[in-house]
Amino acid sequence: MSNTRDRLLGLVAGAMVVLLGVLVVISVRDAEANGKRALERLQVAQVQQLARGLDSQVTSAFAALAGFGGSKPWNLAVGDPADASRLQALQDQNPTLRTGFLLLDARGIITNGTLLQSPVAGRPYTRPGIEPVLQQRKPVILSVAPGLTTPLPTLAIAFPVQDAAGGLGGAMVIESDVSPDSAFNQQVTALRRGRTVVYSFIDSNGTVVASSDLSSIGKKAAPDVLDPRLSFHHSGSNVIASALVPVAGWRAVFQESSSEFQGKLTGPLHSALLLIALAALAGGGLTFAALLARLRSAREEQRRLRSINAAREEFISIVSHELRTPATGQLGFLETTLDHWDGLDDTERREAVSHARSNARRLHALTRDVLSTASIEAGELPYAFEVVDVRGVIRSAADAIADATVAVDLPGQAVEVRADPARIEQVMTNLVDNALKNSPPRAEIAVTVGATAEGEVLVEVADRGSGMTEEQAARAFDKFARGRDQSVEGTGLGLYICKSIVEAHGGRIWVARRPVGTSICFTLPLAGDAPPEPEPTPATATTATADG
Amino acid sequence: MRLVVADNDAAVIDLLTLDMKLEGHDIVGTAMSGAAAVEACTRLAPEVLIVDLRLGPGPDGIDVAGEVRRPDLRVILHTNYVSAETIARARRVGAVVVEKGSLRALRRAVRGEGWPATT
Repeated sequence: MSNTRDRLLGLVAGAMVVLLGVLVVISVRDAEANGKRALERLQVAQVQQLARGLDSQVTSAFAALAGFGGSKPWNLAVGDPADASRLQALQDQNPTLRTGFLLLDARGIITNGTLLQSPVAGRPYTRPGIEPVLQQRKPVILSVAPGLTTPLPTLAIAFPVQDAAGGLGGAMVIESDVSPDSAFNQQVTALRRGRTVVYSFIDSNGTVVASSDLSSIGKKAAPDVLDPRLSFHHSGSNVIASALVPVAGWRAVFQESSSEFQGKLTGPLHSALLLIALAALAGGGLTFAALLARLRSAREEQRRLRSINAAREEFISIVSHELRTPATGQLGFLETTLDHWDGLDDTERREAVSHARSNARRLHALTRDVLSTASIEAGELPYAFEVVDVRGVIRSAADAIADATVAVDLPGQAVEVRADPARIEQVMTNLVDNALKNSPPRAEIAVTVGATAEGEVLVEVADRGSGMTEEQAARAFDKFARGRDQSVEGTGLGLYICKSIVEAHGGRIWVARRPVGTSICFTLPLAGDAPPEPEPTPATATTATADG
Repeated sequence: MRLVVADNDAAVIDLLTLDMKLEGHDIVGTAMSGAAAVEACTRLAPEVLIVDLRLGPGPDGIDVAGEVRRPDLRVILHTNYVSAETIARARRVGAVVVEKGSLRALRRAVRGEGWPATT
């Protein structure tokens, strides 16, 4: 359940990071869309300005031509030499012009012309769109069509002129070639600023009048360019912006590939989006993993602290109980003795005081074990090593336990070890005490000193008590491991302390399970060069060893 | 008084046996577990049962008091762990509580003086 909750929390946190990333992406995409719309509006405005500019120029040109047309009358007779001379003078004023001039009478008959490619004087001028000039006296720009003054396709400006009678009775037509190197087209070409940008002007017939795409000049424009929608629209992989040039009847068109048009805006944005998306995913994943790890670590720490707390509380409970029992026993026996002093004989008094002493010893051993454990765990248990005969230490420990039956079997010769005698005595006291607790009343405890095959001193403390199970033997030297059954008193520190002291002396300690009872054996390295005679080693058929 | 003393600590049994004898009482039986205490009270019909609270595995002292309860048997719970809850539980089964460490309070309780005798 805890793991599931941790994963859920991690997922939620990771999801929030991803969600944040998504929100950022949405915001950026929204900004991108706004940017695109702004770019489109900007482009439309540019094309419209271009169209307005040309429209203004055409309007001005028409105004100028209207003045020119009404300034001095023309004879408008076919082949009239005066008209021919005036036309030639106009032509000579613009020697670089590649196209010429035409004069028409009121009926639309060609009366004169310059740079005529063929003898057309006296023939009707059949170019579409001339009617408004002759009938309505309005200047017009004629759509692209084959010219009469040049072999190239031309567009033409036609405007009314004054005849000999003083009225606007004829028309002058000025042709202009539609070609890539025409002056107008060169101006259009100069507008181009991108790899795929195309600026074009298209007449009312859908013919490309001028274009930065030179291959399209004079040809019908592509259908998507002739789309009647003005302003901005997408067509295939291109974007198209168009605006009308009303006076000329033309359309100004801007084309560019969508990718190039939006590239400057969307390129960096897409890169940023990709980075944000990757960062959100990575961030979400890292957040999930980090949070999960932290939660697990916190949970482990919580478990560890709970465990430590539980162990501490158990220890306090055990110690406080173990302290009270010998303390009240000691007090009780002394109180009984003093209250009934006259009613007791010497033997009874001695026995009562002896009980008090036993309890006092128990209390002393308990406090010593608690303090020793604290020192061991702090790494501060002091040792005063010296070379001693281990037999004396063991005898001293056995004698101190006066009220127990302890049979001690020691070698006949000295067995010298380098040890702290007080600590070894503490080990012996704890082992014998442990044996007594786990034995029937007045059962014999056997202490034997011998040697291992490796030449170490071997001490064995054997009882005839209830014995240990495998599991108990495996845990015998753990801190707070208490007894072979629950009724045995003790803090569970005795064997733990023995193990620590024996290992500090370079020895080993283990449980040897027996058919009857239990032996606890420990070794100590010899201090001298000559090891004692090896004696039969007790069976070590146990599953629990606490080797140093 | 005819007494049964029940405690899982042999040293406590030795102490109480000595002291109660010196007080002039008869120790008719001892027990080191809750089940043994119930058996002893049933078999020996003492007038007073001195029983520890914690008796190892099995029934505790208050459980024993509840099982052996009868009008002519005074049960004294002799324990290191005196708390309001222990006292309340003991009262519910008609027992009194004497804290270990005060033999004089225990003697008074055995004599029947000053019930409930708690220290």
